[in-house]
Amino acid sequence: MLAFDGVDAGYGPLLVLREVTAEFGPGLHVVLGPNGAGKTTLLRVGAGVLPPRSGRVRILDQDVHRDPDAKRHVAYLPHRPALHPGLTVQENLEFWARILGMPSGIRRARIEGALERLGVLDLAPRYAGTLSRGQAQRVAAARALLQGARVLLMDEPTTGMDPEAARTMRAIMREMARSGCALLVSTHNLYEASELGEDVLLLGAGRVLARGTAEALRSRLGPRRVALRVGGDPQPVFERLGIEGTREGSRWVVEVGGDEEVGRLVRVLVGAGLEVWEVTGLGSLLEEVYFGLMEDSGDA
Amino acid sequence: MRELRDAGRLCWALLWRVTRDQREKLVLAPLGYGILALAIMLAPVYLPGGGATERLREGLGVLVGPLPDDPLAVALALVVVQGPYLVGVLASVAGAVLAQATVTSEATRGGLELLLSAPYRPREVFAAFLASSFLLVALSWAVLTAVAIGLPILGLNWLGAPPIPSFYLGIALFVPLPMALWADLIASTVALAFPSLGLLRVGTATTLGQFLAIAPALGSLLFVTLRPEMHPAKLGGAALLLGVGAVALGLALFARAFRVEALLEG
Repeated sequence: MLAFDGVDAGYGPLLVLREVTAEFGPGLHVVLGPNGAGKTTLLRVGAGVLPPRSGRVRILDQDVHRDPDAKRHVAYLPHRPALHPGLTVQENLEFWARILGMPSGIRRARIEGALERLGVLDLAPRYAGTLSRGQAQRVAAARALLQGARVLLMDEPTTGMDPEAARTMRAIMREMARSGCALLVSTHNLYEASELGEDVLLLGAGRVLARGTAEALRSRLGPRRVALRVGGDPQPVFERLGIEGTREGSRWVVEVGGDEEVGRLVRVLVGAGLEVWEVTGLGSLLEEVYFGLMEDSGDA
Repeated sequence: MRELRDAGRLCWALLWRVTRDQREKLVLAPLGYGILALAIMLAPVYLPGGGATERLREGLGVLVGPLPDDPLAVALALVVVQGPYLVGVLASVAGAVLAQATVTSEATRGGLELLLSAPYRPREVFAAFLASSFLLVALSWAVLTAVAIGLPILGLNWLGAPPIPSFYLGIALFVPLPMALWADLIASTVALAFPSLGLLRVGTATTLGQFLAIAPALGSLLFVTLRPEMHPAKLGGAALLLGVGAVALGLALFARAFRVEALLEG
């Protein structure tokens, strides 16, 4: 649906994206990276907002920067909701419907449908300036739904929201992705990326560092750290298996190669007559991937 | 042709947005400015006679023949000779404010980024911005000029003041328009291309951008106040020509400021 083909992009003397090539089909895709990695720039180029310096961006096989009609297939939600505080929610959406050239006969029904889908129909008569950050983002998401686009790009949509509003927004994103469109969400929040991450694209210093599910990305890394709580002394077992264990309070921290090695370790510990009370990965799966790859790229 | 149609549709949507946002303020603000201009202009009529109003009356006499030394003639001279420049100052203030309501507010709120994602080319967005802003400035100028110059001239003629030659009437009515358009363009350009300059204060309430926007109108008002005996038509003609030239320069500056990369950089 959305394809970046060797895209370079930037601002003035600054080159932010470097030779980015990636394709996104239907479903939920997370663009993860630290501040300055190029997430916003990637979405801007994808939405046809910022022209690339080289390379091409295609939406449903139309070049989005050559043919403005291709932008009808993409809806963009910038980091700021970009609502006009002096207009009501209804008027804000009507403004966008007019910009899209939507016929007046269907405008009202489309607006109400989009607001209802996002659960904010009751906000229609409210001035946008009176909305909370969470409400404003949902209204902005409703605006993005107006044109019935096949590709949705959302730039850090949950930033600044309280946990409940962020959870609601994530549920909305999943629901949007289920409707058959390609949804790209940028975030620097590892928890959020883990929550949403069917497909995670890791961006660092303007380049795609890695892409895949969290588990697939994890397998590209070296040893992972695991904490164990066991009854008895596991040190002889560690020595037998050639594993170095460090005692930290009531637990032992060891470095293992992967999930299979964790399973083998537990089996051997139990076989040696020790009780294994708890096995915990240190850091979330994606967190390990993130910091591991960022360190490799020198962007951490 | 298609680009023109698309830019027209976008311009119409932007106008709709500003009219919804500003509502009655769009007409009430220039109406208020017009009444203020009228009050400032006509106040000297009933103040003790001074050299300035005497010289203004003489200046107008060059156009319409010798004028009697009565309040009607002084009022006419103030409205017709000095009025366009005072209206120019107020129209420029309105132009700078409208730039804030149209271009600047879109750019600072992320609306410009959103608009660029709509199915239009960047140059169509640029043209629509400019056209909507100019149309609103023209509306503001029309209301202000009608209240502060047009209606008083009709009233004074009705009271027996001599008619103003139509060629000069045209000059007097149109002199404020390029001043207001310049103000709109410069305020927009500073906000888009040099946002940090726009934050610099000149005095307590005016930013550098706003000052640059209204400076030509202020300068011309100062000039006509210091040299009231100058031939009104020559002065007005020169002001109009300079104003049109300044708008052309402002357009070039605005076009340079409207570069997508630079706009999104901040």
